[in-house]
Amino acid sequence: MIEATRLTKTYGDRRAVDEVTFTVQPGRVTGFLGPNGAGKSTTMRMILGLDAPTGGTVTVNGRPYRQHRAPLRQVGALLDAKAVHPGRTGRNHLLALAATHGIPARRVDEVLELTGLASAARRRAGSYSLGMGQRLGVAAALLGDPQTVILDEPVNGLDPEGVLWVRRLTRTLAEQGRTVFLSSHLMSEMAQTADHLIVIGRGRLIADAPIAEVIAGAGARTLVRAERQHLLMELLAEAGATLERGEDDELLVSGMEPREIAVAAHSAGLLIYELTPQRASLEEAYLELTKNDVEYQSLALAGKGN
Amino acid sequence: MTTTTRSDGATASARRDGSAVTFARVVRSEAVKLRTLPSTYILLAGSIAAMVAVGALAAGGLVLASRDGHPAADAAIRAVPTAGLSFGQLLLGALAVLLISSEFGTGSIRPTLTAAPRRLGVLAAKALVAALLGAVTGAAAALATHLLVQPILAEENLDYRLDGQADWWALLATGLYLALVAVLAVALGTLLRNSAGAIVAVIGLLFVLPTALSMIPGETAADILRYLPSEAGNQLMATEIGDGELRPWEGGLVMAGWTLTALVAAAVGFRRRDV
Repeated sequence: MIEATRLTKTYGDRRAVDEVTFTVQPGRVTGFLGPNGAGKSTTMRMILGLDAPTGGTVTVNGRPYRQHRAPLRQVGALLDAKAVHPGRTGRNHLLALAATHGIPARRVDEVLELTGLASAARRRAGSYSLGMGQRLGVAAALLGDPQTVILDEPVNGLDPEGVLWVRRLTRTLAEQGRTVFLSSHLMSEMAQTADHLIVIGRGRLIADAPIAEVIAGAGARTLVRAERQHLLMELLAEAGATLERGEDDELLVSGMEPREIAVAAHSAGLLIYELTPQRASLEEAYLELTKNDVEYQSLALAGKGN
Repeated sequence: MTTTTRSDGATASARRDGSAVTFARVVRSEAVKLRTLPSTYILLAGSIAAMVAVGALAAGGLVLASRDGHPAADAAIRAVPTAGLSFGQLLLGALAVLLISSEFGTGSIRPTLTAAPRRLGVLAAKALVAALLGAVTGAAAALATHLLVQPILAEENLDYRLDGQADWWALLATGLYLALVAVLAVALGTLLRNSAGAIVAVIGLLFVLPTALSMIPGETAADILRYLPSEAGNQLMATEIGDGELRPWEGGLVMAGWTLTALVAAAVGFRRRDV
């Protein structure tokens, strides 16, 4: 379990992470989404005690990371696949990490096997492809058999087989009751892996909800085609729906269920000849979310002008 | 995957016992890192080779001078094993700098501090490993030089045996000196976080600065020179103390003072700054 409370990090005037509060629960995969520069990596570094928060707190399994006596047993993390000395072999890199906890070489070979890196284990890390580097990073994260696993962009650079492997691995870890916190810029990947989403933009928390809710919340629209469209539009606008014109005679309605739309049209004697519920993809939902954040900012400015 | 899961469950509790991070384990981890990099061996070999080679040249010089009718002073003969120290220390210093600066350079400092979050412990472990490496390298190189130059010195009957306490002390003091150099280098690497910058700083402080100061005439330059780490530290190995020179223990303390100051500054910075 990871608990961040009003977590803040400022660099000079810039607030990279701005009073973010969230909880990452065990037993499920929590996705961490946000545009570049949104503060994802900074947040992850603060979770691991690498960067000190300017304000607020963050704990892992009930304690600040630095206070754990055997941190690799509690948390396994992959932050940057390239953060390995290129002159050292992958196996020796893991042996050095393992030595800090008295983890036996047997376990090192075990995680090398598990990550499919056994055959390259005695090659220098400098000769690894990005995908192999990611596997080494995952191997390091699993070394201490931790309760909480934090992976920053784990599928970056992986081939399709590797992507599938990470998906299965994270699912398995969550099913074992572990806390899995995963960042990715690949929405489609996140849609297939995560149960829960935490979205940040410009250092602020935008969403913290089950993935289905995020998709439903942002994208529940209904495509309507009707005769005498302008009359229907007045009617639906009065009922509080948000309307948007699509291509040709298409009308996109949000804020009303398809049945409510049909009832309204029926009571006014209007003919509807298409009524299609549209489910947004996670990608659309995500863009919608971050767009809303931006709109909120400019609206606030406009309000001041009036 | 299922196999692994099962073995995880079966041995997890057993493995959790006694798995806390201890200072001894962090030291072991640092030792693993040191001996698993090719650059370690290259720089170590270079450091020892520089000391032995310069020692051999110095011995050859004494032999030639003696043939020309300039008999070598005893102190000069006994300084042969440490004649190459000013070069050897730079390569060893570079190696010690890299112990920490390469971690910043490659980003591996993050996995390191994720595994061992107590930063002062990590810095202390690196300093200890560097000190041991310096001590062994210094003493071994001085002893090797001593043994290798005896046949050269023997040509003019200048050879000598390690029989006095002072002879043995000079060998051990070489180790002590290089240990202090190594810790100073680790501190500079921690402060500057950049391999090239920190190596330049080590060379500047131990080599360029004393060379430059020794060229400036006058009392002030000489006074400053005396208290620079390399000049003060070299008094550890001195077999004869000239007028106004620091005694071995005084020189050692001055050098240790430099090292300790740098190490404390490094510790404060390392603990406070983000990585």
